[in-house]
Amino acid sequence: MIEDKDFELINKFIEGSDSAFNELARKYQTKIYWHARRMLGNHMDADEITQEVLLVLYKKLKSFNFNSAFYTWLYRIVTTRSLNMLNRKKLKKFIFIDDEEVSELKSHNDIVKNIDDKEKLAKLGKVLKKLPVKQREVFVLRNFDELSYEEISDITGKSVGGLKSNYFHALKKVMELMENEK
Amino acid sequence: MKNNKERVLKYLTGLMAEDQKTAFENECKNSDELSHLIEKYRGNLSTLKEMGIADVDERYFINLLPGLMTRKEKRNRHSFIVRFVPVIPAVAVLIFILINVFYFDISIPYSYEKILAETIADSDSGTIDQLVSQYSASLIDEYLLDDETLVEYFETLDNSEVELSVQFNYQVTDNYYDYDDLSEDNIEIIYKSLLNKKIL
Repeated sequence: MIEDKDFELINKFIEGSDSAFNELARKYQTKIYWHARRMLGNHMDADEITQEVLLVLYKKLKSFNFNSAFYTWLYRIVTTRSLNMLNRKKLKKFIFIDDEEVSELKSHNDIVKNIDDKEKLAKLGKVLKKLPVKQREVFVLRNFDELSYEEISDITGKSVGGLKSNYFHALKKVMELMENEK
Repeated sequence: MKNNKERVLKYLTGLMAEDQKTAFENECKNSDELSHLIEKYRGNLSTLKEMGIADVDERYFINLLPGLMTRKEKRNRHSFIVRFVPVIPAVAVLIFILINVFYFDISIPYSYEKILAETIADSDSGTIDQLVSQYSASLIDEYLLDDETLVEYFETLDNSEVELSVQFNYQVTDNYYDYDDLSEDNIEIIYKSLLNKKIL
C-alpha cells in the first residue's frame, strides 16, 4: 500500500509534478536525517547527508526502475553516502588532529534543543560509535529503522546470514557496553 | 551463564534454525535465568531505542526542502556558467584565427614590404638612386630599412616619383638576384598594395 503510494508519487514526478517530489521528500526526510545522524553521530554531518540525498533523489528519481521498494532504494543512497562520509572523516582524522572548534560548532547548531534529549543522544552516540561501521549499519537499520534482514540485504547487498552474524556481534557488544555502564 | 547469554543473543538475532528456536523457547519456559536474560536484553534494546527519540526543532524539517530548492537553483546557475567556461578559450582561438585570416587577406605581409624596400635600395637604376638621395642616403643602410622608415621615406615622394617607382618594378626585380623567385605578378601586387596603403 505504502509502495503503491510511493510509486504513484514517483510517476507523477516523472510526468513533471514537482509537488509530488515535495510530498515524497517530506515523507522520508525525517527518516533520512535520523538514519544519517545515528550513523554519523552529529547534526551537521546528518544535515549534509540529508541535503545531499534529497538532491540526488531529485536528480535520479526519474531513473528509478520500480524493481524494488522505493524506501530500500532510498536507504541504499543514505547508507552509501553515510559510509562514504565516515571513510572521509576517518581519513581526515588520520591526517589532521580533530578540531575542537568544529566539534563545538557541531553541538551548537543542533536541532535538538532539550538538554535531556541531547544527553540521551550523546549516550547513544557513544555506544554506536564503539561499533565497527558495518555492525553499526546493520544495528541501526534493524533496531532503529525496524527493517527486516531481507530489506537490509536489499539495501546493503549482503547475505541475510552475514547480516545476522553482524547483528549478533553488534548486539553482543552493545549489551556488554550497557552492562558496564550500569 | 556466558553460554546462556550467547544463546539468548542468537535467539534474538534470529541466528537459530527453526527447530533450535522451538527447543530454546520450550527451555525458556522452564528456566528463569533464560527468560530473565531475554527480558533484560529486550529491555536494553528498547531503552536504546528510546534514547534515539528526541524532540527536535520542527522548523528544520519545514525549511529543509525550500532551502534545498534554493541551493539547487544556485547550483544550476553556477553550473550554467561553468558549462560555458571551456567554450571561452575556444571562442578566443576562433576569433584569433578569424582576425588573422582576415588580416592576411587584405594586407601584404611585412616581409614583402621589406623585400621591396631592399630591392629598391639595391637597384642599379640611377633614377631610384636619385629618389633615395633626395631624402637621405642614411635611411637605407645595407638593405636594412625598417617599416616606419620606409613609410616615412615614401611619404616624402610626390606622385610623379611614385609613378616612376612603379615603372621601374621589372627592372628592379631583374637586377636583384637574391629575390629572383619573386614573380613579376607578386611585384606588381606589392606595388599596388603599397600604393593603396599610401606607402607609395
